Amino acid sequence: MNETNKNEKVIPQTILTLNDDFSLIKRFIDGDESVFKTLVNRHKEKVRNIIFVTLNGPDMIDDLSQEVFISVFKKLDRFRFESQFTTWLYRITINKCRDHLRRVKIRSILSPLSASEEELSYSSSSLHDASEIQEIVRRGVAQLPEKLRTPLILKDFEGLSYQEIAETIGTEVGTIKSRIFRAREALKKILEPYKKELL
Amino acid sequence: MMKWYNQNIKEQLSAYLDDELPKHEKDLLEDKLISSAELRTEFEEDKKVKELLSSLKRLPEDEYFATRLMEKIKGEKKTEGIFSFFKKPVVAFGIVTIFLMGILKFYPNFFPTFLSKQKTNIIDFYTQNLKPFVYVADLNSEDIFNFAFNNNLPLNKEDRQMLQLLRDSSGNQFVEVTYAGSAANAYNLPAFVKSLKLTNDQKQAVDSILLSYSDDISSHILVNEKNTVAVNPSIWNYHNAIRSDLLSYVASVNKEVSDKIMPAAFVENNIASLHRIQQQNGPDEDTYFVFSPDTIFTQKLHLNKDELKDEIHKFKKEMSQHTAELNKIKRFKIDVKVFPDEFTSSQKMKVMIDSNICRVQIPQDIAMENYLPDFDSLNSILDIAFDQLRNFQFDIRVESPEKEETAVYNDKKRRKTTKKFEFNIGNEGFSIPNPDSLATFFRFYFQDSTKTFKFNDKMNEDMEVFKKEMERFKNDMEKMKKELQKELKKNSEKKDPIEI
Repeated sequence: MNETNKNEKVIPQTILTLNDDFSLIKRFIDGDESVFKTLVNRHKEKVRNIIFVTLNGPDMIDDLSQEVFISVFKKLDRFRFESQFTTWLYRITINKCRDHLRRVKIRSILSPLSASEEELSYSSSSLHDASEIQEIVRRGVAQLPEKLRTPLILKDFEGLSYQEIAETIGTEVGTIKSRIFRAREALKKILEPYKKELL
Repeated sequence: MMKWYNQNIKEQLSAYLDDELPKHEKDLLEDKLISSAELRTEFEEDKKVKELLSSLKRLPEDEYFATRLMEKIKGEKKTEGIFSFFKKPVVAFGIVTIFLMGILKFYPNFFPTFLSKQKTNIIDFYTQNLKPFVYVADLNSEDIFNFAFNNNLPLNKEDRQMLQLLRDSSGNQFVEVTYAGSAANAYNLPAFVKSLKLTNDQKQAVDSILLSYSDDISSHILVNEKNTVAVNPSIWNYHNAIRSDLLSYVASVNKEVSDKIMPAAFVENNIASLHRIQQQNGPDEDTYFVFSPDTIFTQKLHLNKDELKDEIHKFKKEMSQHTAELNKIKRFKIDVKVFPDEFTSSQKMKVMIDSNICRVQIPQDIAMENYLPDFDSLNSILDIAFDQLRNFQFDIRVESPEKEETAVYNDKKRRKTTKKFEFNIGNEGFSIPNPDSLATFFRFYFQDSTKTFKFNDKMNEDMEVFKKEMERFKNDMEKMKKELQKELKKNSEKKDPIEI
């Protein structure tokens, strides 16, 4: 009996904690609100960067990012686990950006000179600096219509698949394919004056 | 077709770049890429665009973002915790309803009292420190004449703000504050003096009659620094009293003119009756119409008239000593523009508001007619007399050439001029400014009183034609009558005697 006992391996008792998004959300729904911080830390940079590229400026990033995550916090208990958490998160982010741009547009009607109407003012000869190129590209993207801009950003900047983008925006994959193509064509036209340096 | 094909290929190329094409389409496109240099260039450009976008600099990581966010969420949760219950509309509505029911149960008069208090506050605010009108404008004889004759009194001469007394065709009386009202009156005191050919002494007498009403008018219009104007509706009495006094004076100094302008209904006793109006203030002598910048309302202002008059005298005395200060006071501006209908819905008051006018109808229970039954007729007599006086300034020759047709009234109380008149206008280009105003006059004297005559050649011609037509009609009728009589006679002769 003792021998048997000696031969038995002692298995240490461990608690398995799954750390994927769904598990964290389930824990949040069960009342553990502390996991929300982990979710935020995991996705905050993507959200901030989407806002940065979409709005073409750093002004509202912090406020809008906070608004996005506060919305997530309030609605997370109603999350249906039918799509990825990121798809849902990006949808909220894009909607927040849309709302903000709409407000800016209304304001720009009242005050005719607004940032959105700025022209690409760099002369091609002065494009030596990488940061200038970045600025030109960002402004070029900002000039795209919102319908084309968002799929292009989600694809080329965030690396989402057509399927994920379609789910985020709530449309068909075919539409996304077409929009991304049209966005690239439009962007090429916008960047035409800098073709030599950029393309 | 070719364009669509190219478009489709390019779209496929974009998807190929994103590695989003199914295997067979991918193979097909790769074959095309090998064979088409143009497609390869297109592909390279797309690739470059993609690289540019994916190489866009990311924001530096914000390490404290989550901490800040969690703090914000904590703060929001705290606030929500307190008010979340109230955020549900049903709950909020329920609480408010219970609260209101509680108030109404224990303090049923809460809302009426509250509203009345608010109303009282507004009334108190605007009726504070009301002073006689003389504080802002020193009335001269011309102003008072215009008040009597043209029914207007300047409240603020610079801004052409006027107080006007009006009467509609139904006899309703109105008090009106007009902003930017008419500046000049067509018939004024100099015109009055000129038309009556008054001597200097007589003119001075007229001035003294007019100025004797200055204090009374001043005490019936009160103003304060909050741009409030309070008007006592019995100011209408003074308006009539001044008119009656002026008429009496005209009658005493110029009998000839008086005979020409006075209507037949004007008996000597009328003047005495009109004088009585002055003493009769009516039951609501303390009721004032208050025109304020925000609203308009009626309010009983219990003022000691004697004290008020003393104050006016005192002020006038001071006024002559401190001309500089007076100028300061004269800068007072009355700016009655906007009136919400809060107080205008009262049953008693009828208010008409325009951008420049605010008109209040004097309620029937305040109006003079109620306690002076003959007021209306006296008032119309005054109107007629003044209309004649206004027209008298033009040189209209009045004579009665057809004496045999004239109906002469022997009654001593009536004036001898109550005959049939004809106007002979000496100057050819001359026209009577307002012949209709004389219609009442003529209607009274003509036998056929329902006709209104206009005095021009065309009318005379028409009258001649009309007379001839009537003559012809009369003859026809006579003829017809004779024929009928003949017919009747014949018939009666033919009739068999009645057998009994």
